[in-house]
Amino acid sequence: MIDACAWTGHWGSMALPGAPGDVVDSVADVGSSRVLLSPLDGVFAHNAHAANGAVYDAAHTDGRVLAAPVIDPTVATWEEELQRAVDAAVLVVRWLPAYSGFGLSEADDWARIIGAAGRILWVQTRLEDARRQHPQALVPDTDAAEVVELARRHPDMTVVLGGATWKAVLDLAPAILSLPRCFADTSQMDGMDSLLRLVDAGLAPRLLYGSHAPFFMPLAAVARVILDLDAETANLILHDNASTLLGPDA
Amino acid sequence: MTSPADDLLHRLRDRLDPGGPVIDTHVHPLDNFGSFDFDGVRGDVERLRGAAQRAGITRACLFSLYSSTPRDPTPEQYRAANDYALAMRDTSDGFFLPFCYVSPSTPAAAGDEIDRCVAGEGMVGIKLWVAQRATEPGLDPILERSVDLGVPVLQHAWRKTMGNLPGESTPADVAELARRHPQARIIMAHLNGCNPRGVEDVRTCENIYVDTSGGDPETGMVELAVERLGAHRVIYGSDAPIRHFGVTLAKVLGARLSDADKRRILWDNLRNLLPERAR
Repeated sequence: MIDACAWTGHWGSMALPGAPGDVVDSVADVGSSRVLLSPLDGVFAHNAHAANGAVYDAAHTDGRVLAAPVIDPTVATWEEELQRAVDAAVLVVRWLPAYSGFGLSEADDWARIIGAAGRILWVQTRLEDARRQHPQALVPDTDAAEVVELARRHPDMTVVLGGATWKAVLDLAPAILSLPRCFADTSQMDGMDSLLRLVDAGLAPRLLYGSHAPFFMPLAAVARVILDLDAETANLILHDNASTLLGPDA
Repeated sequence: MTSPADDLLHRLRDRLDPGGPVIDTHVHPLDNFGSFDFDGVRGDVERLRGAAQRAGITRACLFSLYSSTPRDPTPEQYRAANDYALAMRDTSDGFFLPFCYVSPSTPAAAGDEIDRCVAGEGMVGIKLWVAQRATEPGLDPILERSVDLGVPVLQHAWRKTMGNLPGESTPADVAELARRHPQARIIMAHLNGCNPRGVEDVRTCENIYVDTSGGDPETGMVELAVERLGAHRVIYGSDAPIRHFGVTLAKVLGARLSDADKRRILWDNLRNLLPERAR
């Protein structure tokens, strides 16, 4: 199993078990042998890149970890941080547009540079339900449709729609299916029969299992996959799709 | 010979097996939410019950909020909603245990409906949603009737950062209601929506129980509720079909709690609150 969406670090409004070892152990406890890990400590920092060292270190010391650094293209030196990812053979970089404060309609030049660097661009639309955020730290979701639209404008790069609801992804299914390199993760796809409906819409080859640990419980993340789907489809989502995307090292 | 991937799926299914009966305290018909394809009451029962049973749910408390889910339903609307819930009960071989949905905005009609549905039809609880906040006096006769009839009241609650709906109760509102009616047994819905601050709001109200329905499967929330309220005051709920039965069940199964506490949350606590006819 490959957990494509997990985080490490601290979060201001709640005490998370976010030490790298704790997060990796928690996702391994439900069977994940690889985890794409990103830092939380930079989310509200003036320079998000300062926190990326934590996931590079974790990847260096624990073979189960694949670093997925956060890139904030509004930081003047962001291309140096991208180069660091390239030098470290990182496969996936994550954007947090709502936290970095940019809109995807103004992000084409940045996306083009990431695509030219051969990295997978993961656009995280949500870290917390807006109803649950700290009242002094309100950050709206990024519109899932804008992520798919970005992918449409950049068909040669791989774009992952991260943290979207199942309903948003279902509504976008035709657009996603028209883009061979557009994927979505399952980490916030709650709702009865949520994955069943997405699979019925033809999206099984485009879904990547994610737990959103340590915010969410990994056992809950696997429940939505394995209780409703046949083994072959479950394995696509839990492993095969991500393995194809990330290559044999994953 | 099975593959390693199949072995893993088997092990995970074992982890998600509740290991005993489970009552879900918080389920709505597909007729209310979710844009599901189903054919009438029977189709609603089959699809909803099928999803519940895949997750290991044994029985489910059901409340209809009427097809269009108006925030403050008319008596005609909540009567129709209750008729739908009764039809689902009668079509489900007792899998669904309906609660009577009323609005405190129409107290006389609400009282008549409670008598019709609870005293007459054997519904096992009363559901209040967002018509009026729990601080409003319109709730008082409903709570008094629940005590007379020996059924719990399930009160929606949320603590939304961006502000609640006008009639939507906060946990502090529910605490005030519980203090006004110390003999009533109140199930406050949506642990994750109430958040840790809401748990503190109701901590000293021993007649408030908290259901685990709604919100995301956040790490540590069920453990926090058990620590602050005691395992005897925490009750499993899903809020299906808005939420997934198995995901919400995993909040309890994956919590760092004893097996005995998990059993209380999944079955014993609600069984003890419901009238004898539901056991």
